[in-house]
Amino acid sequence: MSRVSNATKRAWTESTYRESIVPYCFGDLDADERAAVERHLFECDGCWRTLQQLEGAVSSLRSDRRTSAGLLTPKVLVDVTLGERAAGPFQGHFGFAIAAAAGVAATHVVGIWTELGYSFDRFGGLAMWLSAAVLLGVFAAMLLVLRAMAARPVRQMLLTGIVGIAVVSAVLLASTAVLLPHEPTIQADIATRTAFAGFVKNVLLYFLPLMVVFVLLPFQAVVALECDVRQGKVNNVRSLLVSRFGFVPTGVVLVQPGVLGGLLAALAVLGIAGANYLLDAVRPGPFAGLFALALYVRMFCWFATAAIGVWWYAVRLDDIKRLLRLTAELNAGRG
Amino acid sequence: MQGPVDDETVRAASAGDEIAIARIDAAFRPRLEHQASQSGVPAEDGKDVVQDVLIDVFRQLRAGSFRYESAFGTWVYSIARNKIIEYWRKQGRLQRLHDGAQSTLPQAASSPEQAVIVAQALEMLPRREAVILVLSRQEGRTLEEIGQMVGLKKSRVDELLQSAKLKFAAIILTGREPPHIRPKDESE
Repeated sequence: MSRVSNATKRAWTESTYRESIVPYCFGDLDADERAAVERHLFECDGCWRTLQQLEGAVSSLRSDRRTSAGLLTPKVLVDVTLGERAAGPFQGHFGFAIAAAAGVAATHVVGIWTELGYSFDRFGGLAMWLSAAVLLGVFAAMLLVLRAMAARPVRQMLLTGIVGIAVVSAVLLASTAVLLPHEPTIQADIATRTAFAGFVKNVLLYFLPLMVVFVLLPFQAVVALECDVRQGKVNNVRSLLVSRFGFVPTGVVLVQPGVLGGLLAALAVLGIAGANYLLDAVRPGPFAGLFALALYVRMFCWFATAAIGVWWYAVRLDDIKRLLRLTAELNAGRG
Repeated sequence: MQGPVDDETVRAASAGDEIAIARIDAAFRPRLEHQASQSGVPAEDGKDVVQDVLIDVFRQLRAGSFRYESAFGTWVYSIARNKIIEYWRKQGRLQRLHDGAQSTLPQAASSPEQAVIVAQALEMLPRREAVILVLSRQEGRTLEEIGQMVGLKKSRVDELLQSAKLKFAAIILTGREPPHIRPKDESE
C-alpha cells in the first residue's frame, strides 16, 4: 500500500525521500517506491543514517514482544476500548441516554394525549402546554437519573436509578394532580377513569416498568460489566457472559437480552389486544380519532423505547464479549 | 544532499589508494548488506553477494568504467542490483527478487537495549495509538480486526496507525516526544 502520492511519485525530491523513510521502514511503499528509496540510500548519508536509526527500532517493534509486554494486557486493551468512552458523560453511553430519555419523555407526553385527546375541544390547550412541560421535564429528569447512576458506585447504581425514577414519577404525578381534570374525559361503553386517574395508571403500569426494565436494567448491567472489566475482573465477566456461571456484581441485576426481548414480544401482543379492546369500547365523538391516534402513538413510543433498550443492551454485551474473546486470543498467542 | 563519499575519494580509489578503497568499503558495505537483505537474499549468502559487488565496484573503478555522470552511490546501486538479479538467476528463482521488494525488514531478535528504547517510545505514544501500532505491526492484525477490538471504523484505525508510525519514528529519531503529541488521556 503506497503512502506516497502520485504527484510525489512523478517528481521525487529530497524532501520526498526524507518523508519516505518512515513508510519504507514500515513496509508501506510499493515496489517502485521502495526501489527509488533504496537507490537514494546509496546517494544520501542523511537518509541512510535516519534509516539505520529507525530500521532497528521498527524491526524490534515487529519481532520483539518484550517491547509491548505491558501494553497488550486485557486491562490496557479494555482501557483503550472502554476507558476513553467511560471518561465521557453517562460512562460513554451518551447516545443511549439521549435516546432513552427522549423515548421515555415522548411516551409520557403521548400518555397525556390519550387522556385528553378525546375531549380535545375542552382540554386541547391544556394538553398542548402540558405536553411541552412534560416533554422537557421528563427528558431532563431522565438524563439526570442516568447521569446520577453513572456517577455512583456499581453496587448503588440500580438503587439510585430506581429511587430517581420514583422521585421523578412522584413529582410528575403531584404536578399533574392539580392540572389534569378530575373527571372522565373519554366516553366509552366500559367504565372510564378520570383523566388524572388514567394518567396515574399510565405512569404506574406502563411508564415505570418501561423505565426500570428496558432502560435502567440494561444501562446498569452494561456500565457495571464494563466497570468490572476495566478493574481487571475479566474472567468473571467472561464467565457471566459466556457460560453464565460467574458472580453477578453486588447490587446489579443481570438479565439476558433474550429474556428482555421475549418479555417485549409478549407485552406487544398484550398491548395490541388491550388497545383494540379499548378502541372497540370507545363511543364515537368528534375527537375519537385523535384519541385512537394517541393510543397507537403511545404504544409505538413505548415499544420503540423498549426495543432500543433491548437492542442496545444486546449490542453492548456482544461488544464486551468480543473484546474479551480477542484479548484472550491475543494473550494466548503471546504465551 | 551529502553523498557517502566525495569524488576525490572515488578518484583516489580508482587510482588504487588503499585508504580511499577502505573508506568506500566502509560506506557501502552496510548499504549493500541492507540491500541484499531487502531483496530477500539469505543472510548466509548475503555476505558473499556483497563481497562480489564490492570486488566488481573496485574492478570497474580501476578499469575507469565510472564516468562521474551520475552519483557514485547510484552507480554502486546499479551494480548491486545486477549482482542480486544474477544471484537469483543462479538460484533459478528470479521472481524472488520481485517478491523481495515487498519483503519486510529482517526479523532478527533485537538487543535488550533496542527493546528498551522501543518500549519507551511506545510508552510515550498516546495509549490507543501505541496499542493500534502493536496490534498492526507486532500481532499482524488487519485494520478491520483492530477496528473491532478498539471499537473504531477501519478508516479511523488507519488514520491513528499512520499517526502512530510518524510519532514513533519521531520519538526514535529525536529521543523525545514530538511537541504535537498530546497527553495519553487526550489521545482522541
